Amino acid sequence: MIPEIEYIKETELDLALQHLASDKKVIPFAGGTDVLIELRKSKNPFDRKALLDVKGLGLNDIYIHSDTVIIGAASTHTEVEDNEIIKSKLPVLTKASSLIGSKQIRNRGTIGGNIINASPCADTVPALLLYDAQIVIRSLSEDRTVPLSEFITSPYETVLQKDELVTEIRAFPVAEDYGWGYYKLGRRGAVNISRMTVAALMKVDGEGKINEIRVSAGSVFPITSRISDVEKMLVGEKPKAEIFRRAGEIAAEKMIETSGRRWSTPYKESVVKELIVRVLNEAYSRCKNDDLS
Amino acid sequence: MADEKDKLKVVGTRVIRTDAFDKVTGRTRYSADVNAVGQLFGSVLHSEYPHAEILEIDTSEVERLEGVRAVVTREDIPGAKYFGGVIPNQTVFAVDKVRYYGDGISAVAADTPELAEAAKLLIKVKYKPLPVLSDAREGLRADAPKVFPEGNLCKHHKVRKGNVEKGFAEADLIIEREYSTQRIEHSYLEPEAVVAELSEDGGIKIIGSIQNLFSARRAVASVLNLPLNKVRLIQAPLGGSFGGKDEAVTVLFCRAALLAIKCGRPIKLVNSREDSFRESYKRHPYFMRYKAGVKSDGTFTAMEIDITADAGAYASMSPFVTWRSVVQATGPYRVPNVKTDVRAVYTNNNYTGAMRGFGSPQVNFAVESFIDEIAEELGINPLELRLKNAFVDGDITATGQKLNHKVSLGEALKTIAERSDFVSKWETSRKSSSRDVRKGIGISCSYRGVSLGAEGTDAASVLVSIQSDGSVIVETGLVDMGQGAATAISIIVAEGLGIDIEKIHFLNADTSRVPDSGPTVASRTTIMAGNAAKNACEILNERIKRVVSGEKDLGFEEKVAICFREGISLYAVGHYKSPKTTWDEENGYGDAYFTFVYGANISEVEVDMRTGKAKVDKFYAIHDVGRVVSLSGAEGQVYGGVAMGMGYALLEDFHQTDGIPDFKNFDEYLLTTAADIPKMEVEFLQNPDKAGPYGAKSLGEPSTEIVAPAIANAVYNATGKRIRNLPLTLERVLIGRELVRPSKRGSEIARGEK
Amino acid sequence: MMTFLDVRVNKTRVRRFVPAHFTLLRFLRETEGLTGTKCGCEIGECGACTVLLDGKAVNSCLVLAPEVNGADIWTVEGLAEGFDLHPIQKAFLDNDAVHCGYCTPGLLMSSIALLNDDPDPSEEKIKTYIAGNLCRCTGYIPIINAIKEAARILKNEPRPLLK
Repeated sequence: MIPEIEYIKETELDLALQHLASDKKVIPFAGGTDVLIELRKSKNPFDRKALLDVKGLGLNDIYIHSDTVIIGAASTHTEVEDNEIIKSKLPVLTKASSLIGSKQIRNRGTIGGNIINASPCADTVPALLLYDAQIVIRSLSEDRTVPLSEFITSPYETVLQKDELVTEIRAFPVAEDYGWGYYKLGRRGAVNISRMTVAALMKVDGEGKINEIRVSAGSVFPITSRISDVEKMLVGEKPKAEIFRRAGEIAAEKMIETSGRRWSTPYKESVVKELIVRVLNEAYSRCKNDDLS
Repeated sequence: MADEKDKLKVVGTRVIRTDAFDKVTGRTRYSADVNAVGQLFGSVLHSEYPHAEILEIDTSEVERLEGVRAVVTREDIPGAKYFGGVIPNQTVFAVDKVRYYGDGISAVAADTPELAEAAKLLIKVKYKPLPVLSDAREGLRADAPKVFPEGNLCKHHKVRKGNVEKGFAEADLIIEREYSTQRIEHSYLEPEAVVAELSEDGGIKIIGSIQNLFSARRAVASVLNLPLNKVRLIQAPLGGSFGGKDEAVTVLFCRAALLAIKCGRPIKLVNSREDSFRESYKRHPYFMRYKAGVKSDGTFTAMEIDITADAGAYASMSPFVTWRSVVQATGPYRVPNVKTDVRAVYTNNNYTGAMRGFGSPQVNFAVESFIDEIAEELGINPLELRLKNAFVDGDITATGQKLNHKVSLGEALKTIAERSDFVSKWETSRKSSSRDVRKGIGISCSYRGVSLGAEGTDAASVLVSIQSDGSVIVETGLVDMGQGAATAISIIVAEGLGIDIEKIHFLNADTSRVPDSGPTVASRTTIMAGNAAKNACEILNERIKRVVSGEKDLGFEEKVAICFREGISLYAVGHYKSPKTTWDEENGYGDAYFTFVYGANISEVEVDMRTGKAKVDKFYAIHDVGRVVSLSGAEGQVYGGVAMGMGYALLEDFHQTDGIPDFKNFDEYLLTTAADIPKMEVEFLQNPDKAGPYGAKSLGEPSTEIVAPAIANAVYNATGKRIRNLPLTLERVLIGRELVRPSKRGSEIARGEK
Repeated sequence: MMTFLDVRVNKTRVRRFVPAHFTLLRFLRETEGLTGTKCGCEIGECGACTVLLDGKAVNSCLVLAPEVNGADIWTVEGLAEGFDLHPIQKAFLDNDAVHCGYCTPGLLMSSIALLNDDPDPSEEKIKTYIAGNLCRCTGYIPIINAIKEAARILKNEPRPLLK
């Protein structure tokens, strides 16, 4: 049961930021799909928390501004999934958003919440990392923009300060000739918490070599991140099975190097290799290059 | 009987469920929807340890809190401190110690639910933690922690037939395998809820989500020290039960009653899902060793089976669950020499009890996997090996019982194999060498004893009351929990009186108004209540006939009107007592059940060879139900049984670490969703049984008890990997073993959770 | 803390003070007495509490009452008029999609949301759309059949299907 709370809603950003800047502990929330679940677990029901509803702040616009896609942090997963700009400019994010939870959850949960919750299995993060996403943070004292790759510092921890609010996410689309892949492994047919997620963007040049490649992985490393060793290896190579397998091996080696051999490693080691191969294949199959057969 | 089918007007047709209108309009009042004037809200404090002595319970602080109206503990129990239908060793509130993590210590009643929940945290309990017994296989060792002072053996059942040593000596091949199944949660969508209030002339009235009212009433009466007629239990419509709303709700009845008595106000007690997971009983995990002797032509010479069942902290239904296992452990096959031992062992895990299948899903998983393994060793197709050994009319079971009804197992196997093109698909799939995706097909079958069998007295009553306008009210002590009992019984009454089902209104059970009909378990409702209902109709038809004989062309309403004018009672109690069964506990044999049902399943799967993800593509089920009573209801039972069996096969595992459940809710304990459902083909064989109403037998449990082995056999067919432990997780399918998280989840560590 | 709500529930305007920590689910059940909406898990995993919030299917256990101020809410109680069932309810009856019935209200609301979005959904779309509504009894097949039948019946109806 959710214990007693104080509910605050503002329609002006500055007023909302004032609450966050006050001495009182104020928890901002939008969709509530993580915050309310946490609140319900509260061990001390007499410790009344203040919740700041940010849905009145107009933070759910999605638009393009000088080649950058701006996504309001309070945009729901459904709004992202259905948005035509995102479908054409950030297709990996469309896919990622469509695979989050259930329809009911997608109708409430927001992209900002997914990022700020900083779960290693957050579905949108691997997609956004491919588009070099930046997180726009506002507070009364300072506005700052932090690359998503630096925003999450450890599982469930971010650089966000108590007085700060994430207002938007900026993502940088790639040209149309990039191919993309996204694979989320879950146990069921739908409504899965990701076991592992891998995403990739790939561009192949006129000679049929990989010109640019971006690969990211969730639930593989403590923090969802790009796998630069894999990217470095792939650039300049011709996309073929052997190279993709090698990429998978590097990812698996990197996973073990970062986290050590954990309880889950005997399973994840071979599967992460395979998922890398799958998304690379998928991305390659979408590469638009007429020179290729 | 074949002719009778043509004469039946309602039985076997598609009807709209009698209780569905209220359910689609949201008007059905489940327990949690019931409110009593002046009610307070209860909340239960659970143990902090799976096994500990209780040194002190201090409730003084919470009692002083404004808005808290009552606090109850072991001290407030006027009657028996322990209850239980078979072995009364379960507590309402822990007495001297806690035996599992879900044990209740105390309960609080307060003005609001949030206050009750908060207040209980102020109760101070001093524990002396004891060593935790978490593995049933270690429970019988001399040095194992003792759950009860008498020791950890809850029940030992055996079956002895012929001489297994002799049988093994005659065998060309002896094969031994070990299997295990996991603990699973019933996962009825409706968490348990009750509302208790003082009434009934110095007694108590409780409405709640209870499956077995009369055993619950015995428990409540003994705990409260009241006569049975002062304890009135009313069954609210159940949001699913699957065997689960028995003792788990009985404790709530007792706790709510104790709070109501203490403060004199109605008490509403509703479990959260977390409470339900923590407190309720589960399906038993089984550890099974199978050894078989076979001739090279596939004839069985002997089977020796040794099973340990994890009974958890209390007896509950373990003695009966494991009895069904011991009877059915060899599967539906002729085996001349049998030695089976099943031991239910207490542990400090959640107690285990009745769940749809009742001791059969476990042994069926083992024996049906085992048959496939034997077939593989012999180089025989698994269908052929089954057909070679499957029971036929007049065969003798492992317990020495002669099957003197129509045994349709062979027909079921042949029909389903043909429908699915089993043999050719099986041959093709096993040759696949794809390293990416492979298809597989698997088969399973079973026989199942109908109703309680020699477990206990098997009788039921149904009240049929014809109203003066020709409408009818039907009542019984057996309940509808979503399985469609109300509809099935209404169909039988409609058929019996020769009227439309729309004329019938089925009432939920009330212990003060209907006779004890035993529990709604063991797929016994259609056959037991059906027979009793048919009996009531026969009594009424006889009375009507005596008054209106000779006046042929009268409609039902007119005949009823005449009877009322003549002062003839059109209220009848139908009764049915099952045919005799026998059991020699000492020597392990007997005529265990008065009849059996037969069925077979086939599953087609697709396995991702690189991630271990197995997906069920298509599912075939065939069941001989004697007679279909409600056609759509019967199909629905099978669809639901398959979905539940798929969860058992692939997803569900209520794992506990040192007695503490790993899962709290449906975010991590995964059920089958709509997106997992394969195409299903369901077919019924109808060989009417002389024991059943219009020949009907049972279906609820058969539909789920052989799903898992069909899937496991299909996965083997696809991958060549035999998985002997349920569920078939990604890890087991890919690397052949389960991986266990050694510590807290990242999210829990990050949030500092306990 | 109490908060003031001015909402529409099944077409009826409702103005109430409610505790701010009440979920939409508790507001409906405890304040409004609309117990048709069920509580199954309180963490948005089972879908039993699904209602329509401004036309969208949401888990009412994960919405705070004060969040819905000014909103338009539909629950299962708003579907039938007296004894006249909405076509989706009728389709559930006719296809035996109701067993224990606890998941039914949520599934009805998800079904309406689906048919508002897509009057002619494929079987795959139906399955993923209702995957957030758990059912332990029916194996989902009768429910999927009911939605297909309702889609056929409602094909030419103007959307939204609730007005």
